[in-house]
Amino acid sequence: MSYRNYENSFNQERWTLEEFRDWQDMCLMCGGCTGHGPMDPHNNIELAPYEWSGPERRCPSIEYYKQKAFGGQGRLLNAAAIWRDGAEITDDFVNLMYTCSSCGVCNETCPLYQPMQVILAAREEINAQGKAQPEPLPELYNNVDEKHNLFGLETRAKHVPDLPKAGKNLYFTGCYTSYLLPRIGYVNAELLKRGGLDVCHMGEEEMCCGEIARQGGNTELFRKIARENVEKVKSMGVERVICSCAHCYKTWAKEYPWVLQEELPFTVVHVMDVLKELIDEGKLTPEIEVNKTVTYHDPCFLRGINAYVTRPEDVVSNKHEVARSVLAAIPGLELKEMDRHGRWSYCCGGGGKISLNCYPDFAAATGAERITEAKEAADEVITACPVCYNQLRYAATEANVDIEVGDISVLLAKSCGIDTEYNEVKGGDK
Amino acid sequence: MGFYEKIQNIVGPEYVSNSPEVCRAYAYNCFMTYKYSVPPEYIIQPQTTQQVSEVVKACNEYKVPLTPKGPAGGTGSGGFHHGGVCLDLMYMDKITHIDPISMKAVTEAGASYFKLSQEVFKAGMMLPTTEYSCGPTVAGSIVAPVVAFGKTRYGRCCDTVDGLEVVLPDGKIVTLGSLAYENSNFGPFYRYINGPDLVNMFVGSNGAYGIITRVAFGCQKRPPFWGNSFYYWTEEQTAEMEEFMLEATGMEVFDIHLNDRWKFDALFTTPDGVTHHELNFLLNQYPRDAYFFMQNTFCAFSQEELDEKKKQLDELCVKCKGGIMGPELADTLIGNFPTMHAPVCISNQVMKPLFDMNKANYHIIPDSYIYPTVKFGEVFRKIKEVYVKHNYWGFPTPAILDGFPMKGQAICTQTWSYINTRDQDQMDRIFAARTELREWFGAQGGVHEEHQPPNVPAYAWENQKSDYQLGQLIKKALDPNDILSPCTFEMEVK
Repeated sequence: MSYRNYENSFNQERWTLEEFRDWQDMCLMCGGCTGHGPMDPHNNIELAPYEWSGPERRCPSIEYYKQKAFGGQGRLLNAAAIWRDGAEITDDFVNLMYTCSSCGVCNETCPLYQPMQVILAAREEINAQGKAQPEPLPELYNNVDEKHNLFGLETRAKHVPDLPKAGKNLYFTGCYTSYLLPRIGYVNAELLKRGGLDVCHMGEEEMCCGEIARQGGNTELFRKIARENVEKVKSMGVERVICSCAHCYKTWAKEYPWVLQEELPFTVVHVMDVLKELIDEGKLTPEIEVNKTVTYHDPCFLRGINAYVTRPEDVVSNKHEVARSVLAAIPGLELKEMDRHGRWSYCCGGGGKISLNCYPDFAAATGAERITEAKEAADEVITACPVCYNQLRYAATEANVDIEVGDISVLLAKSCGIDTEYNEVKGGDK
Repeated sequence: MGFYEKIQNIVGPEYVSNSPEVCRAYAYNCFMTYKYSVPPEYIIQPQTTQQVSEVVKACNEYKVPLTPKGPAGGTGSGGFHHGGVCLDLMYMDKITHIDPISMKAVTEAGASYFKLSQEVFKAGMMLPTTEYSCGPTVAGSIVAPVVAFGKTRYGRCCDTVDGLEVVLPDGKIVTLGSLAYENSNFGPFYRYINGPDLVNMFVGSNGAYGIITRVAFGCQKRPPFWGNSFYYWTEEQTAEMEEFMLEATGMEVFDIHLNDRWKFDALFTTPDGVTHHELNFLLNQYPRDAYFFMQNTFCAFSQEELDEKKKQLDELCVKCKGGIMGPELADTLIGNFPTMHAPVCISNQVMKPLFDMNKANYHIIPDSYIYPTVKFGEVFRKIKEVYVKHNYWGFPTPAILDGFPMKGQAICTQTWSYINTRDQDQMDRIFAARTELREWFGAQGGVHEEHQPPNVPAYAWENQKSDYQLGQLIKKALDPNDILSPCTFEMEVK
């Protein structure tokens, strides 16, 4: 028996704002998303396994802002007050909703209602009522709408992955990789090619996935971007979209079907799924020993219910185990887990890019807490998302924590004998 | 210096808020059913007992009412019918003392019951009345005492309390029971002292007499062997079932949990409103007229002792004309992780089909009743009569019976209902049923569980006038400014 049955949740991930306006008040007020302490203490015979008990402190917003209102339950009660009781949207309400780190741990704790989805709906309501949003969200919307990338940059990093423009598998690199961290894109492309995959890339035509618009509640813009991206992929005849960014992955896999209210005619996976597949099939063989001890930071969007997609072909429901399988295949590598890991992992501070951009103090404090936790486990932390990678590097510097930050694909590439050297020709991390 | 600045100085500015949005998070009782008419105006989160004392003094100075509350909704509630301060103790959650020799535990008041239970478990002990969900705090479960797991043998959560540290309405810090001599050579070991038991004065007090800041518990040695048995009876066999519950409680079964079949029918119901028993691989094995399902949990220090207990219970079940069920239901639904301590998981599974069927968005428990176990059949028949009258029996709006036989041959029963709050007719019917049952139940001399006044029905006080009037006198003596939880004793009882 599992702690909870994702299938039996209400599936609010598909609910529209209209549905939330009508059906927002089903919370049983158990306090699981708000309180400290275990979710399940024991069964009188043995202590509850980690999967069920969870860490004592789970919600980054409560840890930083201290007040219960900043947890899932408090935000749900405030959203219900707007929708059910006609309360006014104030500046405090706006801040309450946007200071959520979007980590979704409240969805993980709540077998009933998925509070994170209510928070996203409340952000939609703020947009729908034309209320001012935290800066610099309007600018970021403009960036993705007009420049087709989050940063509003005119040019990409020097080298997009060296892949053809047609194939069954599309590697979608995303803004962070395309503009800031090209080495991750290069390495993943090389790994996919080495595995013999028929993989392609949009090149200069790749556009931002639009996650910021979804996270910000700008549904109109998000729907426009989703439609454009999906149509483009359809026209390419692609069977599978492979994302190396956890944010892009969740956006493509879960948020596009939500905003378009239709199933996509292609599969969406994270690159970890494919690398595991290639390793399992013997098409990718990590042979070179990487003798070190690392800890693994689970990107929030690659764990638990956040990454759970109900599709027959998606055989792995615990996505956070996939990256660990890849790590386990690297000879010589030892994984030492942090206190909060797997489905109970803690946000790096990126916060769905909202806290990173709009509430930098919150992002920095969360990042400092996470990087300190990582350092307690190992001298190197690796991850599988360029946003987390960037934020963890920043947090280590800001918090003056002496720790290496790495990417899992780079480790795997090294073990596979792929040249991962950081140089101008291939395009290093900016 | 104004009140707000003063309390900011006491606890730190980040632990105080007067934002309506922050206060709104405390404006509801459990299940969002009760929205307090006057929400709190300040949220204060102290980190030490001394800070609580200073906050109470400031509230007295500025005549601002103060009500404590834990992190969850249903327990540790009380309501903010006078606005003022909500004192949230979630940052006073340190467990300060675990003694496996004398089997004691001391914790700050804001620790979750689950956290304390986990720590006690690690020391080879058990806190036998661990709460049902992860949110409630230890103090919340005392000031608004709840019936929890283990109640059949050990009573309620509050029955395991050995001592308290309390901040009185004038800010004075007192230690009672075993905490009175906490730092002596003997340490905290025994609840009773010379004179009356003052610990109990704060149990069920709703925080009206003082703010509990630390709690000492008496723990139990944890038996290594645990078992469950499931029995069933037909709807007509309430007398036989009463006999079983009375005798099993006398045999000190650890816990008895009673449900009617609506709970399980709901689990196997599809959106078309039909209970598909072909899906129901568990209940299919039992007669269709099986109506009441009873889970018995027992424990022992050896397998032989456990087997003997099970045998005795099985024999008792047969004697009381019940049906013995196989281990499937217990193993699958209740006996295993995690449902023992997380009925929210079961509730979720019940709510899903009922939402699909009826857009039922509220899990509402209109009341909890406590009465003699021997009166179970009488009360059940009345509940059914009233719910049937108001068309609230069966799909699409089932009422699920949830019963807890307790130490002392009293039983607490609740009737869960699932309603669509957008349907005014449904709302009117459920509250009409509640009113009618309250009138009847009050006339029988019943008492009420959990929700403190003024949410509590009037009969709860009408049936215990002397207690209430004495409570009012004590309140006036301790709290002349009526600062702490002022709603608690405000009813006029003649």
